[in-house]
Amino acid sequence: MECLEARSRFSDLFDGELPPAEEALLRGHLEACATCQRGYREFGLALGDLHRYEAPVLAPGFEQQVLRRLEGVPAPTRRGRLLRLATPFLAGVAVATIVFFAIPESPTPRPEPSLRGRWGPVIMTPRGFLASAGDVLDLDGCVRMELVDGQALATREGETIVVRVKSSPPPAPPPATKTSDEPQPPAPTPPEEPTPPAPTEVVQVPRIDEPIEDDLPREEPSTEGVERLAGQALRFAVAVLPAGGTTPAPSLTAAAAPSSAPGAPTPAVRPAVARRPPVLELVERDGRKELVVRGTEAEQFEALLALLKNDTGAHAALADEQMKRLLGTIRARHPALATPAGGENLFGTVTEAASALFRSRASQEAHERERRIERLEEWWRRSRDAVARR
Amino acid sequence: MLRSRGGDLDAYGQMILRYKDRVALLVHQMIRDRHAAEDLSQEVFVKVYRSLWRFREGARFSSWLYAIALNAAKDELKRRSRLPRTEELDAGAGDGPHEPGLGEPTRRLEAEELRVQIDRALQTLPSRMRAVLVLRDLQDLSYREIADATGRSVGTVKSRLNRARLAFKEAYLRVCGRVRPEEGR
Repeated sequence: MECLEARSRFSDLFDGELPPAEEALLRGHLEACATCQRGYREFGLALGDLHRYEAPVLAPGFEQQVLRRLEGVPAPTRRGRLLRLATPFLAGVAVATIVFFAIPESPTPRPEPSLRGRWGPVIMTPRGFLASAGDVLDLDGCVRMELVDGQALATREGETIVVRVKSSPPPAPPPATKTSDEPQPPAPTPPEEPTPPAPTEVVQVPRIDEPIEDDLPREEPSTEGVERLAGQALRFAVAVLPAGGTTPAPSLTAAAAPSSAPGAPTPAVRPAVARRPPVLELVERDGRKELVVRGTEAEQFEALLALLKNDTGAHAALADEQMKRLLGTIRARHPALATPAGGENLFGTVTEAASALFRSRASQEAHERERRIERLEEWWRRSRDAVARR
Repeated sequence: MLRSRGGDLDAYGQMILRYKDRVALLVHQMIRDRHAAEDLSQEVFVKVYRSLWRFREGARFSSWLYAIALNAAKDELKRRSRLPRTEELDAGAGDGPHEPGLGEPTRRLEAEELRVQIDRALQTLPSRMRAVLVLRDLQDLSYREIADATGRSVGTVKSRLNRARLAFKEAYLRVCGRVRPEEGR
């Protein structure tokens, strides 16, 4: 087990979440490696102190102050909330409905064919999106609009407001001038012929911005599985990089660092039975530290990413340099990955992310660094999926 | 919960009593300002009450509550980031209603010193790391509960927690003056 891999599992070991076999492996490494042993001891001590933390006590009367603020607030029922939220929107829908209903009943005679039954097949949302009756629109996740026949109606369903906008009016009411004893049409009426396509009429629908949405967990793309890179690296090597497969690719360091000094680790492929050298190794040549990278591309990527993620020291610059070289190599070997997929150039994204990762580390913008790491991991997952689909 | 939903403020008061310290701790660690944290915690409970009707049956109330508290803290951080910086971060020393009781003075002093050091170390971490660290190591939430509260997968939470703990360890060693040179491969 490598030191980096060991370090990435400190938390699981501390929480007792490791399977017995992995725990034994990690503990074996800790016994053999003084650096990791000390690191884990400090890890435990720091968390032990953290667990002794005594939280500040709130001033007395906190709950009374909250309850005072809640006096007069109506009970948090769904109905009350719906009415409060939907009122402005319903008003907008009502205005639009009135406008539409007014059209066929306008005193101004409209040319034939009558617009009856055809006034609302097209709708324009605030985003300029056109839709036909039967479509379901999602306006920035704020309002979900479903265009169906029926009365204009706004209802709340779960976390969305579904607005049903009338796309064909009801049977025309009898004209005001007609008397009530006028004979009604016989029932049942024969089915009407399909209505020809309606002329385009644009309805401006007001958008609802519901501030309460900010109080709830925000929907973000799931990154399920992305984080388990360590366990997936070798499988990736088989499934995703068929050209490289499980055969170790030439060492990037061997190609990039001409100073293959005698005694330096040999990147040559060894027999399968031989113990393989570590994927990453820090060596010192002529007083300069170098990061030697070996193994398949998948192994190299995984190890470098782990170093960028977990190493908070000066090795990040070396890892960054090697990561850029590795990305260039992968790009040359797998041009399909560099083509736009879903409108995005995966390599452009990841190269930018890798650079920003290093830059942000240098400027100690750790939160930015976190974001970049997640982008790298996302890229890794998407690359794997993209190649697997081929 | 059902009684609170029906508008029973006494029942809701019991819920506040149960969760107020945890919410205040989370908010305080997120925004790093104890005085503002108390006000913001009150706002969180007001928002929770108004949104109780949205709470889904069968869901874990604590995760939902923490999610709302986290979002409120994030919004506060965003709001503050737009303001000109006028004061240093709250170092957490002797400026709040921290009253650990009338225990022996030495223990109280040690506890206070530990709290200040931990606060300082936590303040160096990014907010996302702080959130998982506080929820796990100070609030004792499970991975699943943290995942629900942060809207992330359990795998993401585990990975982020490991990074957060490693970063906390380094920061804590620095704060305690026990920095050691870079090591490892």
